[in-house]
Amino acid sequence: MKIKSSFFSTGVLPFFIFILSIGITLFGWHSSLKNLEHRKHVRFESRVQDISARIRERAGVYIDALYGARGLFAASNSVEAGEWRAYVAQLQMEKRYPGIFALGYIQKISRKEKEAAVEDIRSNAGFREAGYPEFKIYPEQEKSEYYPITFVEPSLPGNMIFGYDLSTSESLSQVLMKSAESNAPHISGKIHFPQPEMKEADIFIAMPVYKHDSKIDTVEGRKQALEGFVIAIIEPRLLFSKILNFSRRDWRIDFEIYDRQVMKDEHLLYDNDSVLDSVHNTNASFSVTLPVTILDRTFALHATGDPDFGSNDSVGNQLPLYVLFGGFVFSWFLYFFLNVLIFGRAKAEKYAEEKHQDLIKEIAERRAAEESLWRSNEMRNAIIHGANFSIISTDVNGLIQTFNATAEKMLGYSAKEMVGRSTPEVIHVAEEVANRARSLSRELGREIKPGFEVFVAKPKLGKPDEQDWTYVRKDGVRFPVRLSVTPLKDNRGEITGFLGIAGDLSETRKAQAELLAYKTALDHHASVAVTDKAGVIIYANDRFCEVSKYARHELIGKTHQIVNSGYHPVSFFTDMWDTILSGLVWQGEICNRSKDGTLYWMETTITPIKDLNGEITHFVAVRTDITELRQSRERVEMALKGGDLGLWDWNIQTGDIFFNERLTSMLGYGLGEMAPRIEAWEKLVHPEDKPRVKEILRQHLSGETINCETEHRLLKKNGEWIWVLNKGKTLEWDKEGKPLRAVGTHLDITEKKNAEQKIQEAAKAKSDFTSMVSHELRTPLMVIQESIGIVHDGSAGPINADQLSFLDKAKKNVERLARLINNVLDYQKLDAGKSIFQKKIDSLNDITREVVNDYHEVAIKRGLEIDLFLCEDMPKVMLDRDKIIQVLANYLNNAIKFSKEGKIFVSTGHEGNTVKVSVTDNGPGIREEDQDKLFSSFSQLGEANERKTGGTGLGLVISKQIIEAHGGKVGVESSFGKGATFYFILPIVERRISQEKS
Amino acid sequence: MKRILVADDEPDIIDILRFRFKKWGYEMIEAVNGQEALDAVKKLRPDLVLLDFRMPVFSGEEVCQQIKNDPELRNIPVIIMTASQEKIRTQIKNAYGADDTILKPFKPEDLLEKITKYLIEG
Repeated sequence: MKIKSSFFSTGVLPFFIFILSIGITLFGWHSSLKNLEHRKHVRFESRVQDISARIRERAGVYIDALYGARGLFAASNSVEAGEWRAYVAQLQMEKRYPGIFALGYIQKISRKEKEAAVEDIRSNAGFREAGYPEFKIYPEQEKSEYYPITFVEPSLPGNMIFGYDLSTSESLSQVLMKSAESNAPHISGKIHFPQPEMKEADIFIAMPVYKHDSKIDTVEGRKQALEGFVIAIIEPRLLFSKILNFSRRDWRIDFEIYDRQVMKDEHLLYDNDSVLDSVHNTNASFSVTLPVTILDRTFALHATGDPDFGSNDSVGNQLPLYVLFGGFVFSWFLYFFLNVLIFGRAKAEKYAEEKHQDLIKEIAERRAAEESLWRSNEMRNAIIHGANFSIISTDVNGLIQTFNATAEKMLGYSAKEMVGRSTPEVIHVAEEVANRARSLSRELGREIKPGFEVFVAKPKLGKPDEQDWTYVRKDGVRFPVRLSVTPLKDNRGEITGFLGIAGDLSETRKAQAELLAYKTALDHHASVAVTDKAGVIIYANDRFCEVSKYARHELIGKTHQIVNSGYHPVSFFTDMWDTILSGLVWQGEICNRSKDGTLYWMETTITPIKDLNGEITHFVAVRTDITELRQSRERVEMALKGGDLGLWDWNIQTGDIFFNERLTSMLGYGLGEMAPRIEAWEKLVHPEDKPRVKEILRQHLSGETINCETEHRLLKKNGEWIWVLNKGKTLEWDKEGKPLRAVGTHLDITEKKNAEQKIQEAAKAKSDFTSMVSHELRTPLMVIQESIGIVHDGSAGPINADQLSFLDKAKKNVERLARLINNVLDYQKLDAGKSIFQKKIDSLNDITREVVNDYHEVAIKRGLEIDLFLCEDMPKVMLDRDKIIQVLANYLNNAIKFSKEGKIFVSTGHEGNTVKVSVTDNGPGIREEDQDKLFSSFSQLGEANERKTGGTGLGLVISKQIIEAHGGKVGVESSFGKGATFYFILPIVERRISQEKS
Repeated sequence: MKRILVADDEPDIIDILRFRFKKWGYEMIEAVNGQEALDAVKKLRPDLVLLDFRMPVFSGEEVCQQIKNDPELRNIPVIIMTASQEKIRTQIKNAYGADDTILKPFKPEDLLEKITKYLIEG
């Protein structure tokens, strides 16, 4: 203040100074204003550049998405619509890739393939789910190659974009070709797609897709291997509105994007008219045009700022006013310091501006970097975690950068553990890596050391590297994978790292092993031949050679005519061909002839093999040798036929039963007329026989009997009954021992049964007749006997000696006749088993004594004596008293009859479990050769004797029957001329009890 | 004199028995079938009835059954003549209430013994 006042106090040019001060003030005001303008301009430019950076960055994101999509093709041999859809869906484009309108696929189709490819796309459900019948390539042009769009996701109504051939425009065609030749993404210029939803101009980025395992290290190789392109269709409006919206509130900038560096309307891609009215607003204070290079194309970004741009920067904008008014008020003061002040301020402002710009730049860069990082992480996560592949990325030195969720799952390591470690260290087998290193060294002609280089040597050269490896899981478990390694490149094409995508082959290997096992089993068991459509053999397995006895080279190139035996009629084979040519499987038994002329039978299944279009290309014939089976089948058939046996084979648990033809015909049914069910058979069993048959079956099925055999009646179809001998046996049981399967036979025994019945009837008739005759004889016999008796005993008056003598004869013979009749009746009853025995515990001693007493008198009359010897401790036995008396009486009667004089000995005794009674006479005896005949029916020894003694010849036979019915035995001991001993033996059934009682 | 009813469809048997009973001192009433026999029993009340097993109209066992079911007649002893075995004879006695049976052909002495036994006891 003091200095200033001294200036004024000097009074030199105060006005001039004032004016000057004003002038200086004005100048200061003006330069400050200019400075402000400059600052604004710099800031404006920096912001526009920021936008341009964002655009580039976003394009980079899109390109990454395309790399991901191409990865899908790399990981799978052919990508189908569904996979594409799933892939695109998981990208969540709207959220993560705003601006990408759709992801599509362009298929390269040569003219030659055009028809087929179009047809395939139209019809093939596998390729395009429901197919797309209206598909056509358009605009129609005669070209050597077509590049129509074949997939688009998300799909658009009407799918009008399908089939749109992008190569019809020369500029687009160039974009595609450049991309294909350079194996790099290329971006197109402005394009209008023929799809109503895509009103606005679009651009697309194309990424070439090559055939698997093809050589793409030269331009020519890449052209050859080109399969198509994945494309990202980008709608600029969406893209920019998103970017600009970012800070729109304080940014008042109009943007125009041109697809060239020429700002002509036809190249205008985008214009955010919403900010300023006019596109070419020349009144606007700021306007800048920046080139934005994305991939190989340079776009022009023209930005126009409005005059108020930056007006809310309060300090900067108010500064000139301060200068102006301050200048007036403090002119002196200002005068003295103004230049210094302006200079200093300008300097400071310049510095501040520089700093400020640096800061803005830094912020922008950092923000862009963060944004980029965030975006690429998002993208990576999407691809990486969506994939069912282990994805491991490394830097150029092999240090792991990413380790995806599938890799974690597959290998058991967490990403945390692995990121930063070097591969192949723990997850590979060292030996395998070493082996691969050796083979790679040979292949590439330089030494490749085992280590990371093994994996990247080829990818570095731009060669695909897809190898099968063994991965080692954290727990040591090894499993096979197919690993493909791709170099990761930055925009300049510099390799920044590598991406290893691995698919677990365990399942595939398992399936392969299984397939091999099947093949081995099939080869072992069956003869397998593959023929072409004409029937020419193109493959024959060992078994086929073995069975046919031809060497393989003798079979290959021939038709099956070579093994034709001539057994089958021609129609047999025409039928077969008709079947298989119509696409059906043929099965049958074929008789073939081997090289050495022997015939063999093959059960054959021929399956036609079709290509994708349903055309038959091959036939596979699988055959099993059934020669022996047929022989044994024939043998069984012959055996059954020879034995006239019907066969049944019964599944006990299901009730199904098989009947052979003989069995059904036995019952009058045709083959197949009888329901093959056990219930159906049961219905045919005669009701009277059913309980018995069921019981026998029950006993067998419960295991009580080993075989099951019964005779029963079955109903024939015509209502007649037949008798069958049904024999069966259980052959299979389940784990619990329940019967599963029984097999058996039916033999028609109706005739035998009828014969048996006739015999029985005849026997009964005979028995009835004998019985009737005997009974009928009794009455007249009694009358004769009584009449003779009345005359003979003189009751009817006196008779003379001659008359008496004849009456004696008559009486004796009538008595004999009566005995004969009684014996016949007895015999017949015993023989027919009609005699009823009433057995009781009884004493043989008592019985013997009684009978001897009865005959005592008769014996004395004949001058004979009976000596009786009874065993003292004779056990009691079970016997029918009357019947035993009959036997003993018969013995004694005979002994008396045949003895002329002397003694008859009767004795009892026991030995072991038997008791014995013997009667010994001193008669003529019996010749040894006649002894056996004595007890057989109606034998008559010495007829003269018989007549003389009045026997019937049936006594001993009846005796034998009675004793045998007691479980005993009769016998005779004799030597001719020295008498005979007749005896019988009875068993002691319960000796202990008998003794107690005796 | 005791009266014995004899029923048999065989006239020769009747003749022979008539001769024997006369000798033995019994009066004989004759019948040739079951009906006649039953009528005669009711009307004449004999001291003993001798029935053949097989007869026309009523068989011997039927006549026997009727006699034994009639309270007024049941005390009259009934003997049945049959050619059947002892087993059947036992059944006849149990089932029809016959007092005794005699096996055809029989000896005259055996018949006399049985008759005497019932007539003296009765």
